[in-house]
Formats: sequence, C-alpha cells, structure tokens
Amino acid sequence: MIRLLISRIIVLFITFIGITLITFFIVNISPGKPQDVYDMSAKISYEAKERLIKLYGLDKPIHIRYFDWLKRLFFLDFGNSFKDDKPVIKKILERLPATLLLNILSLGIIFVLGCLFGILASIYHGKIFDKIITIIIFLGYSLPKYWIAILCMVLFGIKLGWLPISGLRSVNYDYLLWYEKIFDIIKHLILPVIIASIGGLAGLTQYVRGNMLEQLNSEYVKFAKSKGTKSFRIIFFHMFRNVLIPVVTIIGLSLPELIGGGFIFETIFSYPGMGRLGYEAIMSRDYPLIMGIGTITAVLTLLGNFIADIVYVYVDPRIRYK
Amino acid sequence: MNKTLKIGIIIIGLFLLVGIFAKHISPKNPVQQNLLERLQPPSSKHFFGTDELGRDVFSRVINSTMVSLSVGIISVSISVFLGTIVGLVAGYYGKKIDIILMRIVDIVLCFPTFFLILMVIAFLKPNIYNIMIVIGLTSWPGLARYVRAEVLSIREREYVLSAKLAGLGSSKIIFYHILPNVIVPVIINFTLGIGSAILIESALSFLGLGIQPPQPSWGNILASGKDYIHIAWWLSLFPGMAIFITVMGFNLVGEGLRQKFNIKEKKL
Amino acid sequence: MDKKILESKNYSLSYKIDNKKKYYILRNINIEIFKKQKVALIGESGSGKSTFAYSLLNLIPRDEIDFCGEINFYSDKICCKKKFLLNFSDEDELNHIRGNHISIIFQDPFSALNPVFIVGKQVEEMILNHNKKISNDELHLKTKSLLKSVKLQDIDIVYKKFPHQLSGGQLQRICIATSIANIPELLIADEPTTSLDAQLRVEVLDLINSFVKKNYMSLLLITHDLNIVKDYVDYVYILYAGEILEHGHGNVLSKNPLHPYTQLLISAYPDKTKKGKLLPVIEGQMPNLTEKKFFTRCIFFNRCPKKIEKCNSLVPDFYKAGDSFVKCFLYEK
Repeated sequence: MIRLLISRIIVLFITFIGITLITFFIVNISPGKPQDVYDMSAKISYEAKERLIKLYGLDKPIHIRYFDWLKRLFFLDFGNSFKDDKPVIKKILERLPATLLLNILSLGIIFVLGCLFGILASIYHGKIFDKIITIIIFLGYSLPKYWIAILCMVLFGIKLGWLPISGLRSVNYDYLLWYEKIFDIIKHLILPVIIASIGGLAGLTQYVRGNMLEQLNSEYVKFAKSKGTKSFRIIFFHMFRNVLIPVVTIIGLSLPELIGGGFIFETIFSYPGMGRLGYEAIMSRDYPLIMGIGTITAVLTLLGNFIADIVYVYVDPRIRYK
Repeated sequence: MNKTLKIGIIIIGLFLLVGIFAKHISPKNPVQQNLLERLQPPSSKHFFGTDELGRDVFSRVINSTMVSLSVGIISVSISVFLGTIVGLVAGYYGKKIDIILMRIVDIVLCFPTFFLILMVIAFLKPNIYNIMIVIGLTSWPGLARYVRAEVLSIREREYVLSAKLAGLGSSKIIFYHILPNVIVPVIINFTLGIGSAILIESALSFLGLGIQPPQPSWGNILASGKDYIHIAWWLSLFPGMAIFITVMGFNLVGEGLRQKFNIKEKKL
Repeated sequence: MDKKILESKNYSLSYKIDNKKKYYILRNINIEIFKKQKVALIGESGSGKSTFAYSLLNLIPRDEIDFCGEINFYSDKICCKKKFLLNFSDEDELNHIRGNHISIIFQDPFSALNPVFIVGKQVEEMILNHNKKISNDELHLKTKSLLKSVKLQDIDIVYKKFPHQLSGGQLQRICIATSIANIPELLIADEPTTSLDAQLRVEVLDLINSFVKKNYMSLLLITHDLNIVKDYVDYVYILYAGEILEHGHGNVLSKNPLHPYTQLLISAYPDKTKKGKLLPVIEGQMPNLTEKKFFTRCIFFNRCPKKIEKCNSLVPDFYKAGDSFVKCFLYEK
C-alpha cells in the first residue's frame, strides 16, 4: 500500500513537470510575442516597456526563463498580471472558491443523479422509463451546452423572470439578511450548475446503466438470488457496489471536461470563476495569468485523479489485497 | 442494420448533401447585407428570418454546414490517426516506450481540452485550418489509452504468440493480428469524435476564436444572435438546432455501430 | 416409498432470441424427486441441464423466457402445496423458498461469489435472509461452525478473505456451506466439480453427499459425467438437446444402458478396460433448437447409429425396459 502510494506520488511529480512544460511552451513558443501586447497599446512608453521586458526576463533564452518560472512556481509565484499588475496568484485565489463551488456542486449532482438514473434505467430495462433515459442521454451528448445556456437564460431569466442570469450575487446582496444571502446565491447557482452537469450526467448515467445490466447476467447475482436475497438488496448492495468502484475513476476523468466547460458557461453567465478569468486572460493575452490558470487547472485535475486513484485502490479489494 | 444506425446515417447523409450543394440550395447570398430587412422574423421570404445586418439566416445556416462537417471530419481524422498509432505502439512494444507515451497521455488528459484549444487558438490565427489541427492534436489521448488497453489484452493471446513464433515481424503482427481487433472501436470513436469536434468548433466560433465573420458558421451566427436574443429568437434557435441535429446524427451512428458490434460501453 | 418433493410435468422452456426466433431449450421435461432421494441429471453442454436447474429457482430473468407445463414443489415445512415457479408473482414467497427450502451450488465458485465482499458476510447473508431475529453472536457462531463443517482450515482468517484471495477448492466449500446453511429440503448441485482440480472432485462430492445424508435432504446433481456420479446417486435422467431420453436407477443404467445415446455416452468415457483402444466418437452435432422441424422426429435421429425408418417421422414415447424407461422405438412392444 505504501509502496503504491510512493510510486503514485513520483508519477504525480513527473506529470506535474510535464504540465508546466506544456503550459510554458505553448504560451512562449506561439507566434504572438508577449511584448506585442505593449506595442499595441500606445499608453506605455518605450522605457516602461523595456522595464517590463527586464522584469519578466523576456530577453533571456527560453530554457532559462522556464527554469526561472518553475522556481518561482514552487513558491506559488506566477508573476503579476500584465493587465492590472496584480499578483496572478491573488487573482486566481479570488476566483477559485466560486469555481470550486460550481464544480463540486456539479460533481455531486452528476454522481447522485447519474447513479440514480442509471440504476433505475437498468431496473426498467426496455420499458418506457429506460427509453426516456436513453433519449435524454443522447440529448446530453448532442446538445451544444452554451446554446442551452442561452436558451435557458432567455426562458427562465428574461421571459419567466424566475432566475437571475448573471453573476453569483445580486446587486443588493450586501443588504440582505443571512438566509436571504444563501437563497440569493442558490438562485444564481441553479442555471450554471445544471448546464455544467448535463454532459457528465449523460456520460455517467450511460455508464452506470450499461454496467448494471452487465452485472445482471453475472453468476454472483444468480447465487445471491438463489439465497433468497431481496431484489432491492441485490441491486443496491451487490450489483451497485461492483458498479460503483470504476465510477470513482470516471468521475476523476470527467474533471477536466467539467472545468473546461467552465470556460464557456462562466463567460456566458458572467460567473465570477476561474473559467471566465481564463477566457478574459486569453482574449487579452495576459501571459502570466494564462500560464497561472493553465497550471492551476491542470494541477487541480491531477490532484482529483490522484485522489480518485487512491480511493479506487481503497474501495476495490481486488487491488488492495493483491 | 438497426434503427439507431439507420436514422443516424440518414441525418448525416442529409447534412452532407446540404453541405455539398449549399451554393445551389441556398436562396440568397449568405453574406449579402440588406439593412432594410434587418431582424425580420421567419417568413416565406426568409425561412429562418434575417440577422442584424439583414442577411438571410437560412442561407447562412446552409452555407455553414460544410464548415462544421469538414472541421469535424478532418480534425477527428488527425486525432484518430494519432491516438491509434500511439495506442498500438505503446501497447505492443510496452516497457519504456509505453511508460513515456502513457505519461504524455496522462499529462495531456490533465488539461481541459477546451482550455488547451483556447490557449493555442488565441496565439495562432483563428482560421479553419488552425482549428482543425488544434482540435486534432488535443483530442487523441483518450483513444490512445483505450487502444493501448485493448492491445495489451490481445498481445498475450495465443494466436499472436504463435504468429510471433512463426517469425512474423512486429509491424505485420500489429497490422494483421492486432489492428483488426481494435478497428471497430476506433471507427466508433471516429464517429463520436466528429460530434464532439463539431461542438468544440462551434463553441470556439461562438467565443469569437473560431471561424471569423463574415464567413458564416453555426457558432458565429449564434454569437451574433446572443446579443439580440430577446428580440430575435430565430437567430439563436436555428443554428443551434443545426448543430444539435448534426452532432446527434454522428452520435446515433456511433451508438448504432456499438449496438451492432456489441461493444461494451466504455468511456473512450 | 418416501414422499415426492419435486415434480416437473411437461415442462417446456424457450429463450426469446428476437421477435420471431425462439430457442427451445427444454421440451416436455418430466422429472420426479422424492424425499431423501439423490437424482442425477446428465447431459452434454447445451443440453439444457443448467437451464433446468436455474428455472427451478426462477433465476432466469422473466423477460428472456417463455415456458409452459408445471413444476411443483411439495414441502412439509410450508403447509400448503405450492404450484411453483410458473407465474410466480409474489417475490416474498419466492424468496422464502429460495435458500430456505431449495438451494443451489454453482459450477464456478470464482464467479458465484461477489468479488467485493468478504466471504464470511456472504455466508451470513444466507442465514440472515431466512432468520431476521438471529443475534450477531449467534450469527457469527453459526457461520463459523458452517465453515468448519465444510472442512476449511483457519476459519477466522478465511472468514475475512475476499473471493480472489482464496483457491477454487476453498471457494467451492464456502458455496457449499452457504447453500446448506438453512438445511434445505432440496439441494441442487450444478456441476459442482467441473471447475475444480481432479483430486478435489471426489472430496467435494463426498462432502455434498455427507450433508445430504446427514440432514435427510434430496439432491439434484447436474453433471455431464455419469461415471463419476453413479456411486452417489439413486436415480439418473439422461438429457439430450432439451429432452429426457432415458431414466432409471443409477447402477442399472450405467451397467446396462439402453438408449443408443446413453450407450455411446458411456462407451465414450475413458476407463481401465478400454486401455489401448480408440474411444468411440458420437458423430454429428446436436440439432439447432431454434427450428421446430426437428421436434417431429426422434431428437437423436441425425446422430443415431441404430436408427430405423420410423425414427425419422415419429416421436417415440417412453417404453419400459427392465427397470428403466427409454424413449426409443427399439424398445417398443
């Protein structure tokens, strides 16, 4: 167990270095040079530009710049944003809680509903409920999520006026009572969370359904039945436990898609998260910020997968006691 | 052939025809502005209405078909080619090659594909070729992982061992004995991949990083429609439907193939 | 004569393949099992013997099959005579019989146990299903004595093991312990030795046999190997392509087989007297059971070395010959 952990941690470290390499080189090798941004804005004088180039070491060779950057990275120093000269890490940390909130809620919804729908569809296999679920899975895979986001915004936000369509808080948030504050945030979260969950939900439902059906034909289910075990117990205790184990990994793997989707939804819903920050950074070519966000999202995913890996080993006795 | 596959093929066939004969079908010039007829709702003159510059939305949607289809098909060709090769090589040769290739796969999988694409596109010129290449270069790792796992299980089978004992070279073993076993899942991945590539392309265009106006694409029609959504619903509805139905067509074909060849639903 | 506890009357079962096709796996099966009797059902793979075993406990998903005829189970533990399986809609009642009155040992112990639970809990589940009021200590004691009775070593360690950590022999013992936990009246053993190493087979059969004797149970032993089981059972049914071809007392049948199929089957077993000779082969294949046309003649017609003209056009009845019953025109009187 401990040896396994150590080898996983070494792999984790190597992967981390790979992540930094990719982020750094995509940003730095690509045709547009960072200083071009300054060329375009007339407000900055020549001297100021020179100073910036010195500050970011833009005149040094690329590999030296990489190691400089990596060194500072270990102290969580991503440099300052080109745009407003604020430390990148501070800008990210401001936005991180909102993104984590959104993603954890979405993961929760994906997990609970995905398992539930998957199990129900497998129980009612071939019946009308199963067919409806199958169609919904297809919709989930095929619908452009940002389009649905816009349609929902129009329907629930503008036409019906039930839900707010942007941000995380209302304008008058500070004047609300504490329970009104919570209610306000929940109202703002409903649409983004639902839209962000659609894709993952479709995937997980399909997975759980397919695997439950597969378990149904297995011998151990027959044996459990022959013991006179109630079907409720067979489904939720025997079969689901077997299906649940790989679900942990699947959820880990769906993390990047979830965060990646955030770059669109957060922009559409003007949600104050890292995704929108990243989109804005890309649009204004704010190099330090882009690199910072790239690294942080990848590292978050890496950690998510790492935790999923460990949980997997823990819940699957076939690996735990090899 | 099952029903799912049939419906999927019909949908894709229809869109392909529309795409190929777009110039002949479209009633108006998709880029011709007519400021007198701005934001007209759908009518017999403009089936899908007109946009903020008086352009015929129906013609614009029709003329975008080929853009989306070609981005989907070409980018996925790249990624399927890469993914299959990497998976085959890693799985067959094993050892150090496998470790290195799979590390790369793990690393790329850690990035949200969409962010990676955004990052690259933002620095390159956003045009159709760059989009194809970038989508192709970023979406192969999942398939590589899948193919590798399949190869690992096939590699140990008796018939591969006996082929090795008979002195067959590695490349021949890969092509004659291993590739045929993974070809169906690869084709399924191909069709499903086209669907998601079209979604990515349209999302990029929607964010202004994809196909650039005035050339129409479903994503950028949607983007301009977003600003007029409360007065001109047709600007958002029709291109969205077009994306949705096309993607669904490819997904139906993928699912139909999966049912036909009885392939386990795996997360590719 | 002891009481009859199970009988199947003209029982037929078919799998639905798709909307039009059906696979007629069992046709007009008549089997009787008496109290304390040990019965073997013998057939090759594909003959439908496991399907019969599963259908006794209603283990095949209902939407996959069609059936007709009846299977009756007469128990003295439950007061009323139950018309069993056919249109069994009350799940509670069914679960009361499963594991309590009838239980089953599966062929492959590796896949019969749930891979993610420790084996001890899986034995306990059997006890708990039919005795909700049992205290934890009692449950523990009972499980351990069960594990001991199937001759497992280091019971406390085995109890906490997951299936993949144990050997096939150990797992099959655990399955046996599970199936006899509630002392059922009928124990079904579906090829209990097939997936085990040769030296374990006799041991496992002896074990099953001793439990059956000690607790006055009836046994339905399903196997493809008449030679191995002939000393253990009282009565034998020979199943071929979904039909019973011959039935009679075990010893009589193995010494003096009457049906051409049984004769071939027995002569195809290797044994000492046949040393140095080629074993005979039954030519041809089992007919395709999706086609009804094969059911209008003797089902063994295409492979039978002793066929007569009549066999091609008529289906034989059972004819009594000596102590056995044979479904073959050669014994028509």
